[in-house]
Amino acid sequence: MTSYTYADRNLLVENEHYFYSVLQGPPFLNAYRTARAEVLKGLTEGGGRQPPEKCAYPTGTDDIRTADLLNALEWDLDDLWLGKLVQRFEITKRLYPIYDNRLRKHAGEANDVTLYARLACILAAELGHAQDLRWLNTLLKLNDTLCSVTNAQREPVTQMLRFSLTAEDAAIKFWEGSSP
Amino acid sequence: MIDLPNVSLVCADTTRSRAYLQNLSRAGFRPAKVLVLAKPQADLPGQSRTILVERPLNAENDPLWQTAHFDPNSSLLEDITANGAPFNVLDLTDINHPDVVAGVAALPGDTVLYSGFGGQILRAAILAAGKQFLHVHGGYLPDFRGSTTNYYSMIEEAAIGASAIFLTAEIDAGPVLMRRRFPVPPDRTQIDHLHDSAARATVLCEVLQVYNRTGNWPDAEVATTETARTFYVIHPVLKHIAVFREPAKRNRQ
Repeated sequence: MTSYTYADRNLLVENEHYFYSVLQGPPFLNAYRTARAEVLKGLTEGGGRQPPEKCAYPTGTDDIRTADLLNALEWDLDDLWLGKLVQRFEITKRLYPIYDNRLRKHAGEANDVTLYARLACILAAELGHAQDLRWLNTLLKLNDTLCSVTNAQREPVTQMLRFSLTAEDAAIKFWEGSSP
Repeated sequence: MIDLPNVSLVCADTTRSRAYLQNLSRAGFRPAKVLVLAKPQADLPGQSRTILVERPLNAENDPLWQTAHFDPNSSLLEDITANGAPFNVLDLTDINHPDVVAGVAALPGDTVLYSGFGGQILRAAILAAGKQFLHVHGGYLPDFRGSTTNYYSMIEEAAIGASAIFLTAEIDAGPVLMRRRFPVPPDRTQIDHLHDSAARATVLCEVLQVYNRTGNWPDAEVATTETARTFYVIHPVLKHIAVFREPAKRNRQ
C-alpha cells in the first residue's frame, strides 16, 4: 500500500531534501490527501494568528531577525524579500532565527515552528491572489515540516497550520484540474 | 566525424553524459578531448542506483526520443571510445576540486561542453580556468531557472524545454545561445533520466551544428522584457501531478 512518507518523521530532526523523488503512481496523491486530512482532523482550536506588526525591511548591516522580516512581509509584502527567504528555506529546509544582513549565514536553532508557520501563511495568502507554482512548492515543504512535528510542538500554530493546509489543498485541486 | 579542435567535453558518470556522447557521435561531432569525472558507486545526483528502462513507453510516437534516443545503461568509456575523442579520467567528482580545475585548464580549446554531476555550482576558480563553459539547462530560459524545471513547465504549459547557455557565477543566468520547447512526451514517467537528457542533447547538437556551420556560437536573442523565475527541487506531490494528471485536464490551462 502506498503511503505518504514525506512527513512521517520529525523533519526538524531528520531533514528531507526531495531530490530525485520516486514516482509511486496516482495512489501516492491519495496517500498524500489522507495524510493531510488526518493532520487537519487532529488540529485543536487555538494557536491563533496575531495581527501583523508594522515593521520595515532590513536596510543596514545589522543581523536580520527572521521574526522581524516575517513582520515586514506580513505588513507589506515584497516579492524580492519573500524570494530571498524562500531561497534560504529551500536550500537548507530550515528557518533560523537570525541571519546576517545578506541573509546568508545563520545563527541559533532552527526549531521555532512559528517561523515556519508564518512563512507558510504568507505563501498561502499569496496563492489566494495568484496560482504561482513556486510558492505552492515551498508551501508543500513547509507544511510537511509542520505536519511532521509533535502535537506539542504544533500547538502554538494550529490555526495558522489549518489556514496553510486549506490553501495548499485548494491550490493542489486547481492544478489537478478540479474545481478549487 | 567533424573534429572540434576548439571544444572539449567535461563529463561525469551520469545518464546525461551518456546522452551527450551518443548524440554527439550520431551527429558526427568529436570534441578535441574529454575529461571524465568518475568515481564508482559515488551515488551522486544524476547517477541511477538501478538499471534504467532502455526506452520510454510508446517510443515510436515520441518525436524527441526518436531524435535523441540513447542507451542510458551504456559504459561511459565505451561511448567515448566509440566517439573517438582522446580522454583522461580523474577519480574525482567535484568540479571545483583543484585537480579538476587544473585538468580543465589544460584541455584544448577555449570552450568546454559541461556535463558534470547534478547540483554542483561552478565556483570562481573553475570559472577562471580560461574556458567558457557551455551548459545545457533542463528548462526553457529565462522562464524556468533552477532545479527540476521541466516538471513545472509540464504542469504550466504541457511542454519541457532545454536551453544552452554559457555559465556565469549566477545560476542559469548566462547568455542564452539556443532554447527549445518540446511537447510533453507520451510516457511522462521517464523525464529524470531519459527525456530531460534527450532534450538537452538535442539542443547541444543543434548549437554545435550552428557553430560548425558559421564559426560562431548562436545567440537566442532573449528579450530584456522576458522575466526570469527561479524554481527549487520539485515537491513529490507536484511531480506526481506533472506526470499523472490527465492530458485533457492538463490542457485546460
